[in-house]
Amino acid sequence: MITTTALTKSYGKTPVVRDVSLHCEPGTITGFLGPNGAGKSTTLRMIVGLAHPDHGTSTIDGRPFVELPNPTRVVGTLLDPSAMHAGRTGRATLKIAAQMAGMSTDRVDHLLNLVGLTDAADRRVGGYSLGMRQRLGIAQTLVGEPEVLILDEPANGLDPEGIAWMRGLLRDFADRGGTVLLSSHLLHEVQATVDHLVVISRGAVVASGPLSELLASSSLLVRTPDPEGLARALRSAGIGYRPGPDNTFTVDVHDGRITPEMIARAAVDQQVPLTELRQSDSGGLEQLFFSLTAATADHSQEAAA
Amino acid sequence: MTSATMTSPVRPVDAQSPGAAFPAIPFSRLLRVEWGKATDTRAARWLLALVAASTVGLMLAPLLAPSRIDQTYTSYLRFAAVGLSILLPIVSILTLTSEWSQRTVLTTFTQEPRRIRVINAKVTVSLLLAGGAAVFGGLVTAAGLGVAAATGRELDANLNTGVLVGYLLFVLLSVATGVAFGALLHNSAAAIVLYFALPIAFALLGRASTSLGQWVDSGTTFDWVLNGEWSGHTPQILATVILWVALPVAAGLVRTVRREINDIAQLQRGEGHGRRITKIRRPCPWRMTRVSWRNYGSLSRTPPRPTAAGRSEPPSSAGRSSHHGNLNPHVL
Repeated sequence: MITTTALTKSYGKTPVVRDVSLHCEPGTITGFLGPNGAGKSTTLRMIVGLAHPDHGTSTIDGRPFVELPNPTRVVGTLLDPSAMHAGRTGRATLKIAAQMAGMSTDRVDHLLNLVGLTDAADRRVGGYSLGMRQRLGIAQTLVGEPEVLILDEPANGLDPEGIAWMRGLLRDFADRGGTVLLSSHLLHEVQATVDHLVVISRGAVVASGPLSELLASSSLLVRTPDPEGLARALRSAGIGYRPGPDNTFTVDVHDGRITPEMIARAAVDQQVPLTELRQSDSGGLEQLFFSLTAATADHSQEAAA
Repeated sequence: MTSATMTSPVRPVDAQSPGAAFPAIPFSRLLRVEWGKATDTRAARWLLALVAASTVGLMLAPLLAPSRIDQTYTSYLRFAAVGLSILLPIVSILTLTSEWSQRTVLTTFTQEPRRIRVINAKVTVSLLLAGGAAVFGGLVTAAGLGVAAATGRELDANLNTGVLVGYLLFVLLSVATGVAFGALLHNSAAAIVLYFALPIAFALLGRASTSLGQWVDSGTTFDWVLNGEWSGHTPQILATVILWVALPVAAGLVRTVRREINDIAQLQRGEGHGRRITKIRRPCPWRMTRVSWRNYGSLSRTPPRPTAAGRSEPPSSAGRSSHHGNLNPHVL
């Protein structure tokens, strides 16, 4: 379980993280989503004690990270896959992590196999691709058999197959009672992986909640061969709409006050055929993401400078 | 490869507080890990080999120039000491700095958040290495003396405890000075350059003013230690130990505990602000994010001008994926 309360941090006069409160429950994967420079990494680094918050607290299972006697037995962290000694082999890197955690180094071979690096185990990390470093980093987080994982942009550098693999691994970890907090700016990756979502923009949380709830608040897409008829039908039913391309209409659900059924009934009343009626899920999260962050993106330039 | 092969069970959700389940990392384990880190890379092994070679090499001097160098046990031992003191401190500098240069502090300090214990382990490893090297130097000396005796030279066996203590202290102090530079500067290149340049500067100062120099020039005072000339010099020796070892180590510990570990450019520069010290590998411009574009300017020789650099950012790169992102604005 990861809990932060009102984490706040500034560098000079520039606020980087403002009042960020997170709560990650065991058995769930929480996505920490935001554009580059939104404060995701700084927040994660404050949780693991690498950066010091101006105020606010963070705890892992009720204790501050820096008070954990042997943190890698509780929390696996992967903050930057490029932060590995280029001169060591993958195997040596994991051996050090295992030794430090007090685990048997016999575990190293198993972990190398788990992340698909058995063949590259005795090559120096300096020759690894970013994707291979991510895999090695994941292996390193699992060394101490932790119950919490904190991952900063874990999908970076992974190919689609690697991303699918990581998704399965994290899902399995959470299903067995683990807690996962991962940051990302890859919207589709987050959408397919996480249960909970925290969207951050310019250092502040702008939305959080279960993924399904956040997505449900988007809009409906209606398609008809008779656009004039449908426009008439929606108007007469008092439903607001925006015409889209290819005879489609987008209808805002207004927090569930407009339902697909209402649209279907309106169409039936006016005898307008519908060929499609669904949640406009394609890019639903994307829309949410951009609507939440776009307004602030223009200012981030000045704010950061 | 599927996740189903992951055998490690996550502990039950209702498990007790994690602190109770896992004891703290014992210092002996930190020592073992840090010993491994200090000696397991190719660079470290080359350096240790060079230390051995330079010690053996210097031992040739009294062997090959018997007319100019005293043929005594003590003078042979001092050549071993000087041989060790040239390169061994670099090993200890790297022991302290390489984790910052390679940015593995990110991992190490999440494995053991009590950073001071990690530094203590690194310092201890350096001193253990110094002790081992001193023993090696003693063996090389014995071999040199053996060769000299075999060639039928008269050797003055003037070794006593004082000489041996002086020898050991000299090696340890040389290494401790390297440790201090590494602990304080967090940057391999800067620490190595300053380790060699600063003593020269202070030696020149000592030449200009002997009365002042003897209080700050560790070259002079450590030679006194090596030669066992403590009488009348003890305060000066202690003063230089404080100046070159104790103070920088203390400041380095404070800096290490306080330092925020957050940012690529900051770590590569060894400093959050100020001029660039080392050559910086710049990220490819086309892979850079909005923020790293700003930093691009600050990596150059010209002092950063946030407003001008801010305007130069390409707007299209705002949402681009890059692990160079999230650089904090603090370094601008």
